[in-house]
Amino acid sequence: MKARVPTAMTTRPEFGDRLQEAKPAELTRARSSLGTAPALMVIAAGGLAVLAVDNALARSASHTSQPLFWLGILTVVVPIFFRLLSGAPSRTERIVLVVLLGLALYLVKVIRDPFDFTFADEFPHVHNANEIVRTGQLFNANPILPITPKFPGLEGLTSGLSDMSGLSTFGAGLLVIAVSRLIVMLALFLLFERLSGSPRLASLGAAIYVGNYNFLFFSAQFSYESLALPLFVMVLALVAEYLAADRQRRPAFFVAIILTTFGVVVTHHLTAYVLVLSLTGASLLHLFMGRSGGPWPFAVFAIGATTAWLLVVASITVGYLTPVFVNAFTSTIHTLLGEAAPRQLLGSGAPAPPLIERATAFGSVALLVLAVVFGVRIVWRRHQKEPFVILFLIAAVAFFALLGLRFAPAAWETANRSSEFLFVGLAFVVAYTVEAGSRRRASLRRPLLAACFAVVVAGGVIGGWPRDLRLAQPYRIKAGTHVIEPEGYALARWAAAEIGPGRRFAATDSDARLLTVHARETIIVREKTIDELLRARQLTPSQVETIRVRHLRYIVVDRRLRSFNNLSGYFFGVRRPRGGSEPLLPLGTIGKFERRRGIQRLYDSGTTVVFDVGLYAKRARQ
Amino acid sequence: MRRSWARFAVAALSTSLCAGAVLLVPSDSVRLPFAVLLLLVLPGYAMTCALFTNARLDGPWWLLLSVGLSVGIGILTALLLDLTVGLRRSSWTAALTMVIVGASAVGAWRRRTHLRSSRRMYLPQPGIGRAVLLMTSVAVIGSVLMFSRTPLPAKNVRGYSVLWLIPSTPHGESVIARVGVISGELQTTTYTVEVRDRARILLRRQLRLSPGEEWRSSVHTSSGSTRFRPVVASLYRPDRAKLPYRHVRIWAGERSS
Repeated sequence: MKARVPTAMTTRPEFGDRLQEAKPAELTRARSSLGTAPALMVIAAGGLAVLAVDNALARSASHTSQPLFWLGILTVVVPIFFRLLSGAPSRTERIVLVVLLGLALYLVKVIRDPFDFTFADEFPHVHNANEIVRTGQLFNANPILPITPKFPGLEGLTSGLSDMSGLSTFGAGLLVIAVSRLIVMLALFLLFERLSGSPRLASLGAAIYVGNYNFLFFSAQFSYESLALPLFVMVLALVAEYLAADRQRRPAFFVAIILTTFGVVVTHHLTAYVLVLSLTGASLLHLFMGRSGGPWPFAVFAIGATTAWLLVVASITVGYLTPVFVNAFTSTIHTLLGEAAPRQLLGSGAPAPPLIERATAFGSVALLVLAVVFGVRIVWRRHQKEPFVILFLIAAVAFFALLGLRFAPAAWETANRSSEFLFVGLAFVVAYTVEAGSRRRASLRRPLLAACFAVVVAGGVIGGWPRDLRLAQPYRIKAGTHVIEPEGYALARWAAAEIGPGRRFAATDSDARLLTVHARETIIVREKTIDELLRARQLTPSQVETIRVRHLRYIVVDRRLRSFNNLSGYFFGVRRPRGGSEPLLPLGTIGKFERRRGIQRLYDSGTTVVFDVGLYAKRARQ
Repeated sequence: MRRSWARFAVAALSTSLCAGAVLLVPSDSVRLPFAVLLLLVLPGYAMTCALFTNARLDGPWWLLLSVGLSVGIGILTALLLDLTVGLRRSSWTAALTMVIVGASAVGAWRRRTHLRSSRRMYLPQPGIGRAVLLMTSVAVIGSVLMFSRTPLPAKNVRGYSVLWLIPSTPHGESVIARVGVISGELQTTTYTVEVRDRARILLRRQLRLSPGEEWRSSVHTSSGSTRFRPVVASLYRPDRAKLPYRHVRIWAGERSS
């Protein structure tokens, strides 16, 4: 039997012993161990106040300020990170600051959208949660994203909170995602602390994690990955503790890991597969490195649970994910071979961000590369015999490899979605570089490191979300003593009141989501034939056939081009400072239906017209 | 041993209090904290007590396990309820209560042989200055959220006006239709709405709608006419009295099959 190598994982005192066995003087220090956390909370609140003002300006279609946005963000993150660089904070203070950082950045998204969920991916999940409350059952149909009801973890939990508390799905969803954010920050800290043996390193790593591309907006949205990813990190933290625990304590962790893994499997497909890969990878590393134990029981359970869920409940996952990966692969090959033009980074399809933002985005990648190069050496020197840490090293390197996929038009989504998983390993490695750099006493080191952190966070925001959508859009506005909502919401409420649920509609992407959530209509959207039907100026026989084959009853012709954009189509149009009208489709898109006898024009808002083609289709058949 | 069962009694009592509040209290704002405890804290806390009898957990681990395991238990509970009685407030409350009380009982039973309880956790005691700062930050964040949720004027946005018309009885010889106007304009707006069945005016009304206000009515088309014909509603603005600002059209006169 090989001698067990003492590592951070085995020599670190059991958690909790520190405080319990401390001397009275240390207890006193522990009792006041919040340190500067309360002061930093006030500063973070100040940063959020700045963001609230900026978003209010944006919401009222007044002059918006990107510098104000950055001022708010950096006011939240930089002071906290600067404090974490110091050796002074207690473990408690570090944990409080890490959690504060995560929750404060979550509030950035809440401040942006304080009235309702408006991200494209949020609508399907809101619909699922509403349907669960209405029917009392999981697995209801979802016309926008049919796969989502098959993974009901988020919506099941949210509907339960909504039902029991009386909160709307929006309120309950905000709370559930806030809890998820708490879980991910705590789990990151505890995981990194277990692996490194250092609360300081752990807090730096958890803080660096917020620099990943999706942390500020994508991972804060009401979507199944936003809950699954924190549970994934929690599983890793529990597995790390399990491997370090003695035999007596392992059964408790075993049960906790199984329960949490099951939560991941039921909540999000990709996260479950990443968990399978992670646990399997860690098990194989244990095997190759001649280490006994290893998380193989959990890998087996994860594989079994994921496969069972796929086969029994969610077989459509195969049809959903296969084209994504196939397209990503072929797009990458075509781009590498020069057969397809590379994707424009930073603002594909939109005006490129200013030079300073592009420089920041590329600068953040350069800083991360530098930090990883140094960090890999330090980590290897200290932890080369620890399989879990080796897994993180691999993830850190893989992050940069997958960054290249962002150049391939159909592969950038794969790269983007993988980044928040790989960044767990990357943050751990980078933390070593930062910690080593911050130990020197030179007065400029910590400010320099804090500035680098600011660049990384800013680069993450720039690379992860469109510039023109960082701030709020005009949504619920005050007109006199009244409050009015945008056109799309008026349409959805009208359909709910006058048409009733369950009718078959063709609509643009943003209208479709609103109609699904607020009117419970069955929407046919995002198909090439539907797109042609909505955009064409002539009603051709093939389009009539589309109406017949798809059993369409209502067609929403929204001439506003931004209604085809599922990120920005939900809001009021804004008059441009120098005049000019909103970009619209030609009048012929409406005229083609208008000219047909039997097609009923039910709704007219000027730019949006709803046609009832039921009578026309019936007459055409006769 | 007595102590462990005393803790179980406290757990059972507090769970019952939360469950009772969730089921019986009509006010949403009062129910909310109990619902949050019942779904997102207590199940995980009870499970942690049941599982980790030998391990001395510190605060962060207690918090992570309490909340994280509550999420896992909530997800599992939703699945079980879906397979059995359905997801309703009563079933959720009953299921979670059973989980919490059951796990607490297991925890009490497992801890009955421990000679001493798990060691005290020392919570940070901030002192007056820090407490003031904490309260200040909470107050600022609360104000920020309230401010964010306050609708503000937006003069540069485009409002809208909607006219709609829907047949109430489809394809009949004599159609009753509902007609309505929705104002999404930024100021009070005057309209004239007119509904015609060929040359015959079925309805003509002057409207003055505030922002967000709606108007609706019913019209009855010409009876006795089976000719397939359009029934048109038009909306006019005072500044363009001849040119329809909005128009909608349904077809009447078709026999239903």
